[in-house]
Amino acid sequence: MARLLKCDIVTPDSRLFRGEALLVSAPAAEGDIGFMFQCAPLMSILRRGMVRIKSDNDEIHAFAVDGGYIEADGNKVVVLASRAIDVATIDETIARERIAANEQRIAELADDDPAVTFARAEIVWQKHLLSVKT
Amino acid sequence: MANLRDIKKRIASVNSTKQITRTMEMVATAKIRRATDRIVDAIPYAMAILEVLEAVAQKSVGTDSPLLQTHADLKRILVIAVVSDRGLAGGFNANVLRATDAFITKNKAKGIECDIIVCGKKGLSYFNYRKMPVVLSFRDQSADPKIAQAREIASYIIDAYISNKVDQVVIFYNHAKNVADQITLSEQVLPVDHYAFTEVVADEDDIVHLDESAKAASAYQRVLTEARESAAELITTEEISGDFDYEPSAQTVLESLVPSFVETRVFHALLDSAAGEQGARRKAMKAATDNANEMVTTLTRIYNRARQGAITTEITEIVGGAAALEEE
Repeated sequence: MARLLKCDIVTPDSRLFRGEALLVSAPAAEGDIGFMFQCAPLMSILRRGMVRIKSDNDEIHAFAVDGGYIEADGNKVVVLASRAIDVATIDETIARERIAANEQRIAELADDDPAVTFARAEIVWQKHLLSVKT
Repeated sequence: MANLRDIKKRIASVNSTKQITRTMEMVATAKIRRATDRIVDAIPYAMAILEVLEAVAQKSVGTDSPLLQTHADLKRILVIAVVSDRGLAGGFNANVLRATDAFITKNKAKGIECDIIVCGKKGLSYFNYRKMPVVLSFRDQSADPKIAQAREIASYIIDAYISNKVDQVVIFYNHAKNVADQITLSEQVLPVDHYAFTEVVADEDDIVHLDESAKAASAYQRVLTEARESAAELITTEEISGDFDYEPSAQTVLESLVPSFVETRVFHALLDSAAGEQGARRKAMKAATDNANEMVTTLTRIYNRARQGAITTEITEIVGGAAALEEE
């Protein structure tokens, strides 16, 4: 039996996943990286993208992440995502509603309002969710 | 002697107040649980980010991240006051506001200007009434702080610090030491002290240690301690070797981590304050309920004495009347 990695996905307000994995793939700063047991220790910035966890029985569990960090040392992988969601739980209707709501918000706000940046980031994130869902 | 009907009315009114305070006490008790859960949920990320920071800091990479640089001239301080939206929580809001106010007054005397970021309606009205400069305010979020709020604060203070508009950022909030007690804390958020990384970890250890020594294994403390331990167990199973490869580079990783650290710190203050608020409210409402109970007892005693007095007077009158009739 192949040795497994411990894997955690945490976001600032919750722990999204904790378990063992055969393979973890993540969008690291300079390209997607796969981690397996006894991989070289690495610490990297994450881009927006998908973290996929392949378990012992070949099931793949996918998470959409909005940037963050990843820390791996051959034994465990910790994904520190600034925002993340289990792909299976993405609701396209809600995502579309959020995009529309934020677009409207931007239209209402002055261009230099700091809230505009947050609204734009939210739109990008929700569009990302839609793109990984389809 | 007080009128019987008046006393009865007062008893009824105290009783109805008691009902309200008791309900509020129970609501706060239920909310403490939720607030504690939120802190527990946030712990793994905070621990992980601290560990990563520590590992990077150990590498002692040369960095010129502006957030780590202390400004030579201290001319303007940004003060973040975290209080609640609602009152009826004892000294919860007043303690933080008083500490903030004292801090600002002290610095003004030294010629240092202070700007204020305030979270919570109570704080907003306090500073607005005193015409103190509030640059950013949040309301209706104190009971359920979201990471988005922490991000907004973090991005504001980071911008202000980098652009030299402020030279220091300090946060004032209530730390929920346990269910009943809150401690007013002030912490320097910016500039981020290189050694503060490890200090914060040490602080966390202190808290765990404190819990053990107090042996007050309330559910709250137990949950917190367990969460810390499980987070620590995952992350520190082995000593971090320091032989990590960094992508793109150690310096870039550190520079991007620092803002996340600031954000996490602010978020934790908000969560801590939210838990403290419920704790303080529960305590205040329990005291109010106890007082109401005592008052009802006293009033009932007065009522009974008055009733007794009235009966005695009546009997004396009847006996007196009967005696007068007999004599005839």
